[in-house]
Amino acid sequence: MKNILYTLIILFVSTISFAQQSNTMYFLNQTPQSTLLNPAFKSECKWYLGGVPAQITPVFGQVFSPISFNFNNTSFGLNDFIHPGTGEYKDSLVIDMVQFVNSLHNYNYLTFDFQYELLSFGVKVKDYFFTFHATERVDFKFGYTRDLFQIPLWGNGHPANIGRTANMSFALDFTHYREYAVGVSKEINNKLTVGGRAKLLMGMTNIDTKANDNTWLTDANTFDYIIENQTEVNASLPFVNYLYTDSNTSGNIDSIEFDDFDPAAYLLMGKNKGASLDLGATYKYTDRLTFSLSLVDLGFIRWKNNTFNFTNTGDIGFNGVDISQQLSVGYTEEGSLGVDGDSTANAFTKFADSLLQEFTFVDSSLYYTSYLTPKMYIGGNFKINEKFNVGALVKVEFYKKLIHPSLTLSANSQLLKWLAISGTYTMINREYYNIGLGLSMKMGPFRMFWVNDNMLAFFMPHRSRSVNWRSGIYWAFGCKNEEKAKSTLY
Amino acid sequence: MKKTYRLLGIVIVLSFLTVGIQSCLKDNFDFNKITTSNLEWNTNLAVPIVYSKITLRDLLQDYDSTEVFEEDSSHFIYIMYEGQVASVEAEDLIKFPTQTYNGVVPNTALIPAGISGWYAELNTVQNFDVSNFERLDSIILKYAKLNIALTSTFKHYGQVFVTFPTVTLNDVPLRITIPINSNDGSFSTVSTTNIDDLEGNYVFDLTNGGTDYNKLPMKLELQLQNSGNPISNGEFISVNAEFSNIQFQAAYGFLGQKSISISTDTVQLEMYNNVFEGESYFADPKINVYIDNSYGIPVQFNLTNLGAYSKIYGGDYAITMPLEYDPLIINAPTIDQVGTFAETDMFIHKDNSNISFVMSYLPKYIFYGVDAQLNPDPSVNNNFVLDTSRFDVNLEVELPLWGHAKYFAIQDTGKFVMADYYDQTEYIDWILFRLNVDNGFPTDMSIQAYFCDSVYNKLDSLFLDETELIQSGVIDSDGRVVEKTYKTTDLLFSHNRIEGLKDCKYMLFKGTVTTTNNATVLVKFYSDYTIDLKFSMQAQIGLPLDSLSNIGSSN
Repeated sequence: MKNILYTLIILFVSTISFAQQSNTMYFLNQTPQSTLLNPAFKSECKWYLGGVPAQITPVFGQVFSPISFNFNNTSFGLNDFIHPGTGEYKDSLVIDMVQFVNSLHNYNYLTFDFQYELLSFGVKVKDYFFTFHATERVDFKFGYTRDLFQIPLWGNGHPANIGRTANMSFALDFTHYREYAVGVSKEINNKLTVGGRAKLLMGMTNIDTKANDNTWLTDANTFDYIIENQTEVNASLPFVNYLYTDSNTSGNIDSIEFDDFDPAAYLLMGKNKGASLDLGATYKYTDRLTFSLSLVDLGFIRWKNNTFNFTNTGDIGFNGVDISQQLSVGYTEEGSLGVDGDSTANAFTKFADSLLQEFTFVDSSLYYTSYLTPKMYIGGNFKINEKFNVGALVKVEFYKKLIHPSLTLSANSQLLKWLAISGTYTMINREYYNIGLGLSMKMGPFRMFWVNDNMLAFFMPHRSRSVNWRSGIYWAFGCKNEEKAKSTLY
Repeated sequence: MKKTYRLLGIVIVLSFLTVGIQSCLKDNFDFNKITTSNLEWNTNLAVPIVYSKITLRDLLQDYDSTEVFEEDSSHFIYIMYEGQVASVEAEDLIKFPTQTYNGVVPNTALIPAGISGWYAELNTVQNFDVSNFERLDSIILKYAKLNIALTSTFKHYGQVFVTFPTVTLNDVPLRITIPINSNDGSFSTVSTTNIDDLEGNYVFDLTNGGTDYNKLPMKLELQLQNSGNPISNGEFISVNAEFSNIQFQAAYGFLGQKSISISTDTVQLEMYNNVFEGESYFADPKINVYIDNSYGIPVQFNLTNLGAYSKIYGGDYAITMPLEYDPLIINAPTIDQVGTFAETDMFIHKDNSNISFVMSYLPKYIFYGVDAQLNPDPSVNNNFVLDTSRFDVNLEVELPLWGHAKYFAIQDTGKFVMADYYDQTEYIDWILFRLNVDNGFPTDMSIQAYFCDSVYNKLDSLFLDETELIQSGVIDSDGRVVEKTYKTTDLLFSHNRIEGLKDCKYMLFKGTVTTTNNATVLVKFYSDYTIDLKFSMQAQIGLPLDSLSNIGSSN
């Protein structure tokens, strides 16, 4: 049992310690999938086909499945939590809660996203390059504050905690949706290329935390508590039905009914529609220096199927037991202190009751809108020679009114006729040892790629906070000659 | 081709590196090596325990069961102790004795009345007896019992009329007829008449025609019917009339010089019940005596044996009586004010007595007695009294809360069983108790508390020395608090001290209260003064993970 528990913990910690967005992919821009990061990128081939159809390619089709996943933990690695001990514990692994808490930032995120490319194809028509992608996407984000751990572990009276408003919030967002994207890229002139992509989104499952602001202030002088709460959570969970006592769509939930899960109905669900937009541009400043900019995932989904909302806003204070009456009436007569164990317990019970009453959620089943997580990429590339170039990429992700930046430096080379390689170094999550690798290979019309932004995660999983994987295979035809192809590499 | 081999070499080297590093990592993932023995929950908890925001009015409710605290429109507080010194009702004070009147009609007084009988008449003026030299003009009767005993030795039938001409009801004299129902010469009978006020009140005019007092005329009339027997010498009838249980509705005249003496009584001053030492000074203490009199009689009033007893200082302290009240002739209603009360007030205060000095001894009670005399001047004749007349004396000790007090010491004992709060002290490194006081009272307060075991042996004390917990609010020139004073007091209990309190069962509190500026200035107390108290606790706890399962199981 103990091992199972620890295994679960390690799995949890290690998976979230593998992670970050595949910034390296940005530098393999001759692959069709790079257009997902900047729609101005275009293939040098006249047309291509990818996704499930390309998976029939023997061996390579299975190795380079068109999938992408990213795990990311913004704060700590496994060794921040469990590490070899010292002194009397030098032969043991110790659980280090102090270091664990110290490794947390004020706001921390555990994120996971998964993409599976069902179908993609592109075709060049004159100066335009049209693309189509159908992608299955899962996006999971769990945000939590350091105070969620620091307050219980260190106590509210700890000098680091007392006298300040502790943020005891967490946020859970989960979305499973399918994306149908139609994009176009056009070379405006020799220097400027612009692109855009419109996406129809079909939502299937969602949990969306709009606002979750739970705070606890312990007054440094009186030790009084002030607890405030603001929560709004929406969910669209297929096959879950909410029955209300008061009305059809709001009030107090009487019961929850679960329908049998129907995979076909689930995958073909079309009630939750949404749209998003990607925009991008590249600018060739000189023959050697190129800049690029893109904004992706500017969109939303309107959820109408099996929705559930609960909101709560409230605040409550706890100052202890009010002994005013005891002081004024019975204090001396009974010879008691006016407060005994029972009355103290009663006060805490009343406080707990008040908490429940104050923080009672208001339930409803109304439609709601969730938004995608927008990302901005700003890139630059400098060509050293025909086979080697270097680049830099700043990625900014906007989530919960906060920005989450990363910086990637890259060196890219057409190492062999059939092999292009990119090596990257990324600074993200205050972690400075992310070494990435990207490979792009071709065998006739068969083109494959594989990208990882944090190779060290394979060697030092206990220290890593992120891991990702992006691979794909596609068939490309009508491509430019190899010399030309080389020149398209940054 | 050469490049291909080079790439292959790099891949092989990386593969070996990977395998090597993974081997090293194995130790980091050997879950059997994980220990929890090092885990200890070191936490610091801060908890508000109790609080109170109370006004002085709220605080004083403890003593207010008899409404001793009063406040004026500005919320200035007075302590008022009230006691009824005396209430003397007229029926208890004025009593009339039984009146007995005799009359004899001998045979020699008979005169013939036609051929069938004889007639005789006897008029006398009787004295209306009094017990205290009263000189009564008249009495309006509420009730009396009139017994008339008649004896006849005449051997004839007849009847006797007993008339009191000045005892009238609607101007009709009281006349009693008693028949003689036997002619055997030995007749006797007793006639009983209850004279009540059912048809009205009889009026006794005792002036004998306006010339005298305490006089009651009585007329006897005898009618005999000749029964054929002779009238012999020595035969007679005798009448004995007796008014008893005389109750009056009103009486007029001179009602005597009665003395009223009420033995020593007390007014308890509860405010000092828990005080065992100290000094206090009331700037304007008062004893107010309110006398309400509805007797139409001048009364001389003396408050005797006025003083205070102090348990704290021991002994009695006499309060000097102002000369103007020693004695005091209290007011009485005039004849035109019959049925109303005339009020006379007596105010004993700092300017006419030593009451301020006496009150500084923190008395437990005020004691007093009363002597009063009706009609100190015996020459008056215009007294009146009703059956409802009353003479009430109320005493009021009025202590405006304006003054100063020093080392006003209070003590109390409370139950405090340490084990009721926690009994696993081994995990507590220290506890900090914190008291925050925002004081709007014009008082400093110091306190000491002792932790005692079941037989009140002192285990520890709250402070090393008595510590000032509360600082007086800021007062203006009038002695009123205009600004609160905030004070935080911390008390740190180390692990060893906490362990020493395990057997604590009681807490003994001892505190002193001193008014502003060490009791050098006068302060005033208003009911809207407020004080905010907050008592909280902070504890540093080191809880081994293995002990978590034991928490609470030892109870």
